[in-house]
Amino acid sequence: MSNFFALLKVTYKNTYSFTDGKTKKSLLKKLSPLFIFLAVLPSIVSFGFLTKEALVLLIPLQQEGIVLGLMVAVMSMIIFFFGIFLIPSIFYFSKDIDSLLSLPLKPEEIVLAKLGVALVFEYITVAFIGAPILSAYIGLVQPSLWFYVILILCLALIPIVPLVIASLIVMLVMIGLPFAKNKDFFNYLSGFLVVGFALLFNMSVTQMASTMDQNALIQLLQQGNNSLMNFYQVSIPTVPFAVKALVSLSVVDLGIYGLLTFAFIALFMVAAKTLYFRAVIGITETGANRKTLSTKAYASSTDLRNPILSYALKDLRLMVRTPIYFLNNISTVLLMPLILAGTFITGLGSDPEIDALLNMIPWDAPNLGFWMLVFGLAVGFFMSSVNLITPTAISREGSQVWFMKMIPMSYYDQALAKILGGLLISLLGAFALAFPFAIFFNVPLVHYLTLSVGIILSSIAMNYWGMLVDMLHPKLIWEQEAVPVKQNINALYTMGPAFGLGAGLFFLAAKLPLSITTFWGIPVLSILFLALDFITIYMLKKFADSSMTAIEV
Amino acid sequence: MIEIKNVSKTYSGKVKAVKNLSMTIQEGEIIGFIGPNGAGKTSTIKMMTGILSPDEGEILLNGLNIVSNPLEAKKQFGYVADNPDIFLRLKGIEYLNFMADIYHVEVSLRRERIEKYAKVFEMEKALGDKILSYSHGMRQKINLMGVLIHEPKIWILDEPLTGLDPQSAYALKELMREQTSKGNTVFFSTHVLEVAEKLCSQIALINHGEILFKGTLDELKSKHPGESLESIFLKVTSHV
Repeated sequence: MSNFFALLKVTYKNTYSFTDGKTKKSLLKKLSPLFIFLAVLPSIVSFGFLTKEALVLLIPLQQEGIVLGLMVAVMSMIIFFFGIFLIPSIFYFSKDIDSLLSLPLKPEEIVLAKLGVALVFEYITVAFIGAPILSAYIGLVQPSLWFYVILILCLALIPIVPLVIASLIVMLVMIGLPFAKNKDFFNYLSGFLVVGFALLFNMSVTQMASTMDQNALIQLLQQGNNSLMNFYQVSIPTVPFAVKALVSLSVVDLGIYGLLTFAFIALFMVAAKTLYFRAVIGITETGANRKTLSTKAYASSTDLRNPILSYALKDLRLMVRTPIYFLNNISTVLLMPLILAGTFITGLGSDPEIDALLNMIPWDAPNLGFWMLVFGLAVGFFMSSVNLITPTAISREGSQVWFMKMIPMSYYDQALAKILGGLLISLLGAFALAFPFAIFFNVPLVHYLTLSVGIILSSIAMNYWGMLVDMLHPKLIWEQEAVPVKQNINALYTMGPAFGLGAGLFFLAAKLPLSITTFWGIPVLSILFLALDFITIYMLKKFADSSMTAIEV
Repeated sequence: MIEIKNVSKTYSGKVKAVKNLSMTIQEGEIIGFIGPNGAGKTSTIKMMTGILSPDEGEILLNGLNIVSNPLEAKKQFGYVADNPDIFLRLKGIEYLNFMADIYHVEVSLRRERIEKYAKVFEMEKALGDKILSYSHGMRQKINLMGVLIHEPKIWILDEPLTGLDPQSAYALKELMREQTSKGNTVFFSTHVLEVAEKLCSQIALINHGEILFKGTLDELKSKHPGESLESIFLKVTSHV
């Protein structure tokens, strides 16, 4: 066991250490956790209020337990899906694997330590989901002291089984599918499966919301005594025991829950003993052709290009070929129109929110052009901010950022090259989202121009803004390629203003009188956003040199 | 020519990595920069290449200041880092062509050089593969080729021989000599004293961020008669 604890300590420090030990942490970096907390605080608070409202309705019906049941179910499912992503990178593809394999350690010691590291991350997930729900529940239900004891034990155990199940699946896949041992292939595959699942889940929830049998639900509510808990089922087998333990304060269920959790850990150890080494040994090997290039291939590979375009192409190639970046920065943007279109079409006529949104747009009004400009601007903001290409462009360089500082190319030109890639993907996504929508609603051809202008103007501003944010605040110290795109506060600094501006625009557009928007709307808004483009370009030019010079690696 | 004048660098306001370092390396010289781990070699090299900014002092590369005239100064040198793991998902040929684009190398010239250096380093069959599939030594070679493709006047190499096979190490040493015969400057850090002994026209010994000796090997040996280079090195850097 001493091996396990020593390994856990080292692996934990290796995974969650965010400094290079050389450079002093700036005040901004020191305060980053506070910023993240403040940024998610509104969501937590509103989620808490939502829970409170639900509880006010559920308590008289003696159905308050459903809130706890849903909490455990949601926690378990989220941890399971995070696990499917997290486990391969921590168990199989982390940089320390070769070093660990050469040490006299048992396979189960290695994976158990790595499971411990993954658990730390999942407890944060538990805290974020649990905090608003539990504060509302405790405030309204005022449970006994015994509830708190059971709650702490349950919260400590909740992430274990979903993570173990995810680990078992990953270990079996690694043994069963030889090509899964190719890190890139595995990441593409698991990424697409998760995106595909999200797409299906999204569409089925929209459908379910419109077709759910209201009578069955009311009947369940009328039965009282938390019978509604039986209404939902999740595939994590320990969840019902955790829920019963919490809702009925049942020691027996808590005991069964604890025993089952330990049984899963035992199963995990046995699986690790037999499966882990068989797949992980040799995982760092990569395939290659080792063939001399043909004359034609050689000639086409050595063409002269403009340095900025060449730099942009290099960045795009790296992004497409790095699975985690492809899935986060590119595929989401290209799939997003598909997901939204799916939700939109399935919800049309049955989802009151979608119908209300459509009713907001005055299809036959003279200011439809203005509305198309607003729509274009909002789509541009949305698609440019969700791809996170420019707000993570420097962060993705990581320890290789020295290359940017060494070559004879100005920092602004390098930023421009990175923006070109971001802009290309943003525009592709925005047009793929906006144009089918316009075609579907027979928007007159003349308004496609204002729609395009809106998309282009906001995409430029957003990509320049993202680049500026990352130049001023890059996340360069990381071990896993996922960190600069998945755990980067720059996402909030970009999506926050983008969503705010998009929503603000719609709000303003709805409030302004028809006479103003019909004649002045398009020119005034175009000039305003053109000015915003110039401001972001000017700011990047102004800060590129000083911010990049300040980066020391 | 490389001129380093009274350069200092401190990390986190506490650790002084380089202390008031000064030296001049003339054109046509190969200088070996030797020192134990953590002596300040890489910090000095990073300041020479613009990766780090010196807290004090200035660095001139062929008369161009790396801080006040960075773009022109950066055109003067080619740099090979101590860690060759860069752009691993690019193919070898893509990396070389990208470097040629950045340094504005003409098409005919880049093709000629790629062919020449691929042959020298036996990389012809690896150019179409991703750098990720290369061994450490092959990654080192593709980095070297990325520098050689624009034939810089100053070579700055951080531990360039680490991981190279004997043929490639020999080829690199020959290329270094060839460069200096053209009047160019080669500045490289190394731990291997024998390499410095056979290759360098001058050596600079550094420890705790300070230059302890700079001159020819004969000058160093004459100060410590009858001692091997290894024992001189250990004595000078206070390891014995």
